Amino acid sequence: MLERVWYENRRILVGVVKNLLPDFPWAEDILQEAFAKVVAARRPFRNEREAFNFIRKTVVNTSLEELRRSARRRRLGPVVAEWTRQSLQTGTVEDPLAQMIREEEREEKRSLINEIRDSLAALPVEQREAIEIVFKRRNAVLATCKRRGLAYSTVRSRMLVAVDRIRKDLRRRGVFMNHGKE
Amino acid sequence: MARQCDPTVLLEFLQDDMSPEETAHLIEHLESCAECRERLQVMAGLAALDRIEAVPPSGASYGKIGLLAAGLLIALLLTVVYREAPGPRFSEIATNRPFPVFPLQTRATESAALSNALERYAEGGYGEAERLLAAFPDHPDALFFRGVSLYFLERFEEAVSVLEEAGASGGEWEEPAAWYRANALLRLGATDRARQALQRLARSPGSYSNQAEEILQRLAEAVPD
Repeated sequence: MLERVWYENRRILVGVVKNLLPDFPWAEDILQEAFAKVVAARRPFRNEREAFNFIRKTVVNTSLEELRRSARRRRLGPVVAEWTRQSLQTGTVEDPLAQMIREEEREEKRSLINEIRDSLAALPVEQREAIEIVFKRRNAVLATCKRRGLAYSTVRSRMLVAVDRIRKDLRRRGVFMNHGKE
Repeated sequence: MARQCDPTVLLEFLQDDMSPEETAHLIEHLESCAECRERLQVMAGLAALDRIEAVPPSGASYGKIGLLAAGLLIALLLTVVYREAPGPRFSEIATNRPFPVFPLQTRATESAALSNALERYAEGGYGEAERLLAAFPDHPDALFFRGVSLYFLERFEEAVSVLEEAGASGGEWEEPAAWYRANALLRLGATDRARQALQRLARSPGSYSNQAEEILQRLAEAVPD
């Protein structure tokens, strides 16, 4: 059943990856990775809807993992590049490693997750708190709201306002300019 | 279309169940709505962030008595600080130069977690680095860098204790640990202990001798013996 549900909804799943990771040319690889996870899980499903949800969540989570990986890559780049520059002393010899690292640095700067992190830091405290509750306390959102004396509806609307502020900030900074084909 | 532009659906898409039909409708909408596409990408980015900087809990839960008590406590602390605070600004005298992590990168790769922690440190993410390094209480590199991270987090008392431990094992961390410990003592306003530690460093032939001498001189100008 799992394979049938997968292939029947493949077009939707490609859309899921492409909308979550528009700048990633390797949507197919992500789907392959997600498919391997789905198969490896060997979970029984009562019906097709349940199977689809499991597949869809696996695809979403695999895409998010890729987003995380893209931001984590190459953090040692600047340090190694500096060392390489120093070790070459004269600077006249073009070291392929340093060249590669410079390319990677440029790419890392474009990483959406790092841009979001910057925009997030500029938000008011209550909006950051709302984001933290919704995205990092997924299994305890209501309990956290109760403990902090906040209504969930307030937290949700603050989170949505914050998401829009981040979106506008990213547009202002030119991060989203290639996606604006409304 | 207006109904489709409901951003809460995007959150459901990321976190909750959604049928193939609902997903297909959403994908179709995303193809034609750049705003929702961007909202989804922002939400995905937020969900993918390892950590969202902790924020203080909202004041809403504290009530009037809690706020009054907090106000009184702040007033009391301010009185104590103004009375007890040492004259010179020790933050201007003490070092603000982090220990470079680069020489370690080639060898301190016993585990990916330790390597990851040192990467955070190298980026200046001292909070995250400290948290990750605390998982290696017996590793000399981790102890030292945790102590330095605590120093830059301005958790000086903890920094003193961890750096004492890092330096106690001897070896290569003894001197740098003593250096940051002396600076942490200075930032705590424990000038006598800081002075003793700096004098030991100044007398030693190591690489911190000149820097210790310099701080001792500035300390002597600010707080005469």
